[in-house]
Amino acid sequence: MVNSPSQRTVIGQRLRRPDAPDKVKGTALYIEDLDFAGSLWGGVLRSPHAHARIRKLDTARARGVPGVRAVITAKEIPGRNVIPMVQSDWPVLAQDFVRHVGEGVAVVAADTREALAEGLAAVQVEYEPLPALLDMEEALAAGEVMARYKVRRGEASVALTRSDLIVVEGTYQTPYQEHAYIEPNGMIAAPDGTGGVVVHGSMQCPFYVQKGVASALGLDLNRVRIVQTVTGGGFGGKEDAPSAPGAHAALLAMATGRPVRLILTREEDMAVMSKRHPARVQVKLGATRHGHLIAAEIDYLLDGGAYATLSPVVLFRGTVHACGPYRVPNVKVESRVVRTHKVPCGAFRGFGEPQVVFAFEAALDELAERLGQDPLVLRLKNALQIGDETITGHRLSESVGFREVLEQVAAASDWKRKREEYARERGTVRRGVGLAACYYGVGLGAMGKHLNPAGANVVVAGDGSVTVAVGTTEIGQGMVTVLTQIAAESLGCPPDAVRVMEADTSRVPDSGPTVASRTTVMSGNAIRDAAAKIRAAMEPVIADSGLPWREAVALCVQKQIGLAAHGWAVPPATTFDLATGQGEAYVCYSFSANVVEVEVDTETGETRVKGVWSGHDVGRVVNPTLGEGQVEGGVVQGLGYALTEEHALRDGRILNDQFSTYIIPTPLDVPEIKSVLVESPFPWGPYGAKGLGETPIIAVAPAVVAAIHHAARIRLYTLPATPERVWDAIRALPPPGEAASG
Amino acid sequence: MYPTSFDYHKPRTLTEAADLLKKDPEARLLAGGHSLLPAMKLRLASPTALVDLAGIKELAGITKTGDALRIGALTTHAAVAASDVVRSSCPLLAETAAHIGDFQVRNRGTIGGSIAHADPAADYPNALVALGATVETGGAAARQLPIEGFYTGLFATGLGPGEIVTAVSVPTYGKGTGGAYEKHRHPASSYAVVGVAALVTVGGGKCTKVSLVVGGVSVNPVRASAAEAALTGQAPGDAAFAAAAARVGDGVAKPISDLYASGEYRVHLASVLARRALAAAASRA
Repeated sequence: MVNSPSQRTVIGQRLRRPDAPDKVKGTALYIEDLDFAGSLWGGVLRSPHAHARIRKLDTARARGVPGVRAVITAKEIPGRNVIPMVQSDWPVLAQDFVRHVGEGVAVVAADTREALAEGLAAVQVEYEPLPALLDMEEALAAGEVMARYKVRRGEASVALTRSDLIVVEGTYQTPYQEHAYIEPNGMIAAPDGTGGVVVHGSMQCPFYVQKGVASALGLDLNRVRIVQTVTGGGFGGKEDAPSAPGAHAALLAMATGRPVRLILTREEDMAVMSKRHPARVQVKLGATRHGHLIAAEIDYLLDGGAYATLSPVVLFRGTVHACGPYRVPNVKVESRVVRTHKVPCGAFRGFGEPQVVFAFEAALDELAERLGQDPLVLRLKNALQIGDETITGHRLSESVGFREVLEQVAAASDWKRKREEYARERGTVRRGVGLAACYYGVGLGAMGKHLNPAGANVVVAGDGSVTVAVGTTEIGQGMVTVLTQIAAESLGCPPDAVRVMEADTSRVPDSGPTVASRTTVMSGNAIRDAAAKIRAAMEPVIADSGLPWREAVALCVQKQIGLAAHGWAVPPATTFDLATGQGEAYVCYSFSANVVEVEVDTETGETRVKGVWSGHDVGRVVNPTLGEGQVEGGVVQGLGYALTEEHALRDGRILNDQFSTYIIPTPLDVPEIKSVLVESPFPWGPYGAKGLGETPIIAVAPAVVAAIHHAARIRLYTLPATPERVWDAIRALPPPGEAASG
Repeated sequence: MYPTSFDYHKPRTLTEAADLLKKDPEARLLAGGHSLLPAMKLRLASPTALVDLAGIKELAGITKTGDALRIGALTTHAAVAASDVVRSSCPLLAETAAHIGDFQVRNRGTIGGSIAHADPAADYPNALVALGATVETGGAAARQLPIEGFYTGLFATGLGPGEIVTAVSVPTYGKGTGGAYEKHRHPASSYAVVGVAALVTVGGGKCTKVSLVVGGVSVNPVRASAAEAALTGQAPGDAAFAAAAARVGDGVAKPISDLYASGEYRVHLASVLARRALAAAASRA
């Protein structure tokens, strides 16, 4: 039967991922698996200095190395020496100055790996080291501000002086975080034989890479074809950053006339590719004795590194979400991202929220303690509901499932009982539970609205098989499966008739970037738009025939009905005033809350996470298995952020550039994670769906730290909560006798 | 990364192996390879040749003679951990072996390799020093070397050129004596950030003999003599264990400090783990 779109049969089903068998069997082809006949090895000579003037750059010797086919520096770039992002400051290759350790100075292509190493070593560079800004506070004092935002609502400073308020105050520090995608960045570029270039690679946003490559080569976009290969994870790290290796490989391919493979080692990827911004957040938060939030002042500072990439947009998202999903009538947020001589930070799942949410939620936990209130009760009391305004004055008229999320995670985790019972623990190893919450504006919102529309081409073949072409990408999150379900639902065809194509800029429309938890909503709506056009063409022919899908299609073919359509989705308008930070920052919000249970060894400072209950209002669950997958993956990444992940730097150089020293959670460290998916439909979203990509990581660290407080009575203001930091805080506690009297 | 290129030899006898080492001073012995191969991939080691010991039959196996176990150098950690004779006559060693690394490391890594590699974060040396083991060598020299004094610095031992660890001889213990191994494992590698081995003999209501060795805090295992002396002659009990454990730092002049843990924290961990190990050992005596 051709199902009517109102009879939902596919949405909400646990459809198996079409890409799963290949990935499980090892037959999926990642960039490293591809082999192009006659390809060369490409590599990058990188700056050893955080900041230096390039006095001399001589490639003659390198060019003479046997097997070396090309050496390219900034002056051999045929197009613009800039990777187009938010600000035009990021060079493809360093020109005159290097501004961070690892910045590309020259690229080399050679016949063999050995010749490449020899060629890179033979490039002669004379550096004049310059003083480097390595500290974000010093950069701020030096006026090196890339971008700043504010939110002004009510009179926060005045309100915080009210004598009837309980006020907590704190300064919080968060570290770098690695995306730790399972596959490092890599590209293979080849001339297309007609003056253009084809670049295959691991990436999230082929149309960003296309812009970067076209700009560097001085070509029109239609001469640059970007093909996304099966991609081993992105998490934001393959949003802006892959344009650099893409441009490097393409420059070498055009210079040599041969395919060039430029695949980063793990150590190189960790040392030079983008990361989550380190942050310093000052929070001052006041509430009445009954626990009604009255005012918040937040000063949010991000370390952007040497180039802006997407930092201003990251900062914007953090700024407008600074007070979480709560009603706060008086708010003052000042935020800045500063330029330092360190690796450029960029997009990362959560996008500027995890840092500020850690600070705000930690302050809220402290406030609950000062008020003598259960942290759950305090949050419920202030939770945003329909009819409330966010701190940017956005009145929420639909799809706010936050209360349900809080209530359901509390019930699922047995919050109340554990809160009371664990508070009485006195042993060496103590249990604790903590709670934290967040919300996340879905899509690109007011700051990125020109990038937000999405296209989709849907073609029904004569045999009834359906090809869906979108420019968003499968990066492991399950996009292909979700869009297959949406296409099947909206066309009324069986899901096994649908094939979502690999992203190839010559064959798919631009659907905007695969970021901001927008893919299900935006590409999904573009597909629905195309499907509606096809259905409209089919209806007069099939009417009430009751024919199965493939026979219905055959009948349409016979009647010469065209069954292909282009769909286009543009989200509802948003308005935002940057001068006051007031307006509709995003079209809608996903809501989340986590309960985390830990055990803390109070002698060694070791924390073991015993359970996580992670709740999310996602509007509508398209595929519960994939929803749970997003939640579990995000929570694990959040646990790493909370407990182990950080970089140590010396003179701007990252010291821990491998997984033996940059510590991520393994399956041995991960407890059972219970997903709680709440459906509070977003009417404009496909079948009510909102985004889920990012909420799972955001409010994990503050819940862990709150749980550690519950167990060990210590407040941590710096992430991650390593055993040594926990021990340091425990030994700083006053002896039990003093605590009782004080 | 990829290692630099190297030759590979698989000799059948110790003499052949020693000759290969003599001919090429940059050659290295390969046993389980779980320390050497990663070091080669990181280019921390670039040997010109690997001399694989796997073909030398006499290096395998566990035998018990009188009150000592003789464990061949190529015996894997998993084999020691699962060995009935080790578990019954020297449980501290089996317990330690079970703590090493992960499944893969335990299934490939060897006791001889661990002894000779002298990694400050290794587990075996701590237990072997506590037990008073003797290292047997062959090849260029055939000697019996007490393991206490065998270690001479960071990744350094008293082995001469061409001298190969062939076995380790470990005294067994029985009723009246208990052992325990406690460690703080590095979350990525499962190496011992700090590892503590304790052996306590209890008689007539007193701790009559105490052996306590701490690893990970210094470049080589350190015998915590002050702590041993503090507990010897005392009745076993929480206060006595705590008082002894508090002295663990006495013998550590300059503790190792790295990205994961400061020297001060390492000494603190050593003290906590020592107290737990002493208590567990005494309870098993």
